Amino acid sequence: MGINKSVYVLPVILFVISIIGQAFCLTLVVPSISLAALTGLDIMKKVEELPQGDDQKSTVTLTLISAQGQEKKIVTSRYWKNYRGKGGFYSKTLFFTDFPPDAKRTGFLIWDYSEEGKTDGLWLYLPSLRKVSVISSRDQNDAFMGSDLTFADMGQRRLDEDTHELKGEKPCEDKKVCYVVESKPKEASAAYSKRIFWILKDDWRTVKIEYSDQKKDPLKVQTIKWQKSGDLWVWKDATVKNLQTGHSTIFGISNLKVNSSFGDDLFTDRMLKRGEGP
Amino acid sequence: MSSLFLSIFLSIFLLLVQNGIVWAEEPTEVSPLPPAEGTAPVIIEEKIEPAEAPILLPMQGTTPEVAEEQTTTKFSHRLITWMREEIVKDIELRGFLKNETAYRFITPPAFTKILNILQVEPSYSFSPDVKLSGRIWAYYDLAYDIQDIGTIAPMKTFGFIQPPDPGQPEPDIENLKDIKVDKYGINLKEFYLDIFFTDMDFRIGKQIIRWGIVEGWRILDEVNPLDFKEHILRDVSDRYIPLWMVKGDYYLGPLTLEGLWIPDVRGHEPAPLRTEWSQFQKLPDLEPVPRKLENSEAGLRASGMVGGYEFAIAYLYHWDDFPAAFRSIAGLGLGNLGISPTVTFTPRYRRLQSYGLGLAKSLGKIVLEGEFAYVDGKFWGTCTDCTPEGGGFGELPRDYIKHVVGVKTVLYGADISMNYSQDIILDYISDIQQQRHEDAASLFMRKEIRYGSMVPQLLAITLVNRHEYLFRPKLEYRYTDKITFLFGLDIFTGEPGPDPGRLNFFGYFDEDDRAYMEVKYSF
Repeated sequence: MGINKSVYVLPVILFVISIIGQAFCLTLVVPSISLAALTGLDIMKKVEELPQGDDQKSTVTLTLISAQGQEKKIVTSRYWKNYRGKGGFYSKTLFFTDFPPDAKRTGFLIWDYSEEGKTDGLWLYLPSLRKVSVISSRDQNDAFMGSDLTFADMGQRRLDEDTHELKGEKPCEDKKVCYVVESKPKEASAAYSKRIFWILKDDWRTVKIEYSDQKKDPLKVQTIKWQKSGDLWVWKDATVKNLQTGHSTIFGISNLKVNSSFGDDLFTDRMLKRGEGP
Repeated sequence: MSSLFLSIFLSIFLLLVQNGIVWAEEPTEVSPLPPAEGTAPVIIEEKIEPAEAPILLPMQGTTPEVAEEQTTTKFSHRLITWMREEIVKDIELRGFLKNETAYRFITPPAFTKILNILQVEPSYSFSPDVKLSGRIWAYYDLAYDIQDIGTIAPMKTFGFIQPPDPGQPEPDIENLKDIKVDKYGINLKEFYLDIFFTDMDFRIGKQIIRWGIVEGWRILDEVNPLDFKEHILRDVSDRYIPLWMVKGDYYLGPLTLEGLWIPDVRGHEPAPLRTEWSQFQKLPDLEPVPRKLENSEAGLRASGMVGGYEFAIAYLYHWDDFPAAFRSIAGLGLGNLGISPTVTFTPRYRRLQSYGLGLAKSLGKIVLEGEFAYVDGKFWGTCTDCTPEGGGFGELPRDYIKHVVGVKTVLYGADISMNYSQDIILDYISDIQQQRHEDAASLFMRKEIRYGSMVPQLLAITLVNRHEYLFRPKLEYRYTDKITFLFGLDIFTGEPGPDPGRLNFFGYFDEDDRAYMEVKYSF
C-alpha cells in the first residue's frame, strides 16, 4: 500500500516571498507625467505602471521577530522574469530556499498568467519527497504564518477592488514630500478597513503603508527602504510591524542583479528539481 | 577534471554492478509463521568502509622496495593533499541529528523506539553541470539496551515461539522469540552523479525515483521497493529503498521524456523478524532474481503540460516487489486417514508490465488529480479449499487495474487533500483470496499557526472494505531555525486478520498505538 502524505515544507512562506518579489520588482524610473488634478486612483495607477526591468536575480532574506525578540530567518534565492504579457504571461518566478537547513533546496515556481481570471500556476518541489507537485493558489486575504503580510498586501490586489482617495501631501522621509492615498476595499469581507499609502511625490516610490483592521483599529505599519540598480529603484528592505501582536517581519533584498537575460528554460520543473539556480 | 571524475565514478559503478556488490545480501531467513501471500523480500544493508588510516612518510636510506613504497606513499600523499585542497574544501555538507522516541500505550506499554540518527548529505560540484551527491545514515536504537526485547515486541495474535530444531541449542533466554534486533548500523542511502546537458540530464547511481502525481499512492510510483521496517510510518526518504540505476531525461519543449535502466533488482523489505512491525515475512527458498542484463528493470515516462493539464504517461517493465508463493498441496482428501495435507512453497519473483497515466489540473484554489495503471502479469493466491474447476489451490495469473482520484485545496489557511483509490482484479473468480476490489481513502490536513512556528497536521487513511483505519495527528514546533520538535500519535484500528496467512494491513497493529516525539537538529 505504502500510503503517505506530503509535508508541505514552507510552501506558504515561499509563496509570500514570491509575491514579495512581484512587489519589490515595482522598480521605478522618474516618469514625466502631468501632476494637474491627480486623483488617488491616478497615483496608484502610476505606481502600478512603473517599469520593472526584464529580469532579476536576488537573495531574499525574511527575518521574523516575535514580540519577545526571538528571531527566525528564511533565506531564498529568487529568479524573476518579466514577460509583459508575451506568451500569455505577466511574469515567472523561481525560488530556492537556502536557509533554514531542513528546508534547503525546497523550490517554488510561479507562472503569473496575463489572461484575466486565470489563476497563477504554482509548483512546489520538496527534496524530502523528491517530486514536484501542483499546489492550489493561496487565499489573497490569508495572513499566512511566517510573515506579517497577506498576499493581497504584496501587490496582488487589483486596483479596481478598492476606492482610492488622495488625502493630501505630507512631509515624509529625507525631507521629501509624499502623496497620502487612502484605499478602502469595496467588498465587506476584506481583511482591512483601509490602507494608507505614503508615496514619494518626485518618483512614485511607496515608502510607508498603514493598515487598519476591520474594526478600524491600527493593525500594522510597513516601511520600505529602496536601493538603485542602474536606472531602476528596487526594494532594499521592508519592515512590517504588527501593532497588535508586537510581531514584525523584515524583508531584505541583497545580491541583486537586473537584466541578466534569463531564458525561458530557467522557469521549468527541470530547474525546480535541481534545487538550485544558475 | 570533470571527465576524470566522471570516468572514475562510472568505472566504480560498473565494477560494483559486475561484481554484484550492489546486490550484497544477507542470508535469507525463514519465518516460523506460515508466510503471507506473495512476500519474500531480501534484507540488504550497505556498509560504509572506515576511512583510510593516515599515511606515514618513510624514513631516508631505504631499500629499492622501500623506495618504491616511498614513491607510492609520496604519490598518495600528493593525492590526498590535492583532494583536500581541490575537493574537500568545496564539499557541501548538510544533514541532521535526530532523536525519535516512541511509546506504545496499549498493553504492554513500552518505549518501542529511542532511535538516534545522524544523516549526512555531502555533495560536490565538479562543474556547474556535473555534481556528485550522497546520503549516509547512521543510527543507534537505545530502546533495546534499556528494555526487555519481549516487551518492545510482544507476541502478536498469530505469533508463536518456534521450538529449536533437533540438535540446535535452546533459544536465548533473553530473546525467547528470537527477535531480529536492528540496533545500530550505517547505510549508504543514496549516492549518485548528476550530469546536465543542454537538453538532457543524467543521474547515475543509487537513487529514489518518484513517478506518481498524487502524493502518497503507489499507482505510477512503483519504481523503488519499500522498506516496511516501521510499517509505512517513516518518511519517503526512509521508506523507499534506493536502487542503483541510470536515469536519463530529455527535454523537448514542454515535454520531458525519461528513461530508466535498473540493474539493481530487489523486492519489498519486510520488518525484521518478529519485531514490533513485522507482518508479512520472507518465504523459504526464495531465490533472488539472477543478476543478468536481461533481468534488469526498465521504464519510460513522458510528462508535461497540455491544455492546462499536467500529465504523465509511464511504462515500467519490472519485477513484482511481492514475489508469488506458488504453493502446491499434497495429501488432500486423506484427512480421514489421519494424514494432514502438506503445503509446499516454491516462491519466485515474477515479471510485471505496468502501463500508467497521471493527470493534474489546477482550478485556482482547487487542484484535481488522478492516476490510473494497468498491471499485466500479477499472480494471486487462491483459497485452500478451492475447487479444481476454479483453478485449484495455488496461484492464478490475473491482470489488475488501480487508480486514485484526489482533490487538494486551501481552506482557512489550511492545506487539505482528499483521495480515493481502488485496486480491481480483472477476470476475477471467487477462489482468489483477495477481494475483487480493494478500496482506500485518505484525508490530509495541515495548517501553519503562530507565524509558522507551530504546524498541526492530520493524516487519516481507511481501507474501506476491511474497515481498517490509521490516524496520524501530529504537531511540529519549530523552536529555532535549526531545532524542531515533533509530537504525534499513530492510532491503528481494525481486526488483525482472518487467519495467520492473511494479516490485515492496519488492523494487525490494533494494539500498537503509540505516541512519539522527535527532536531534530539540522545543519
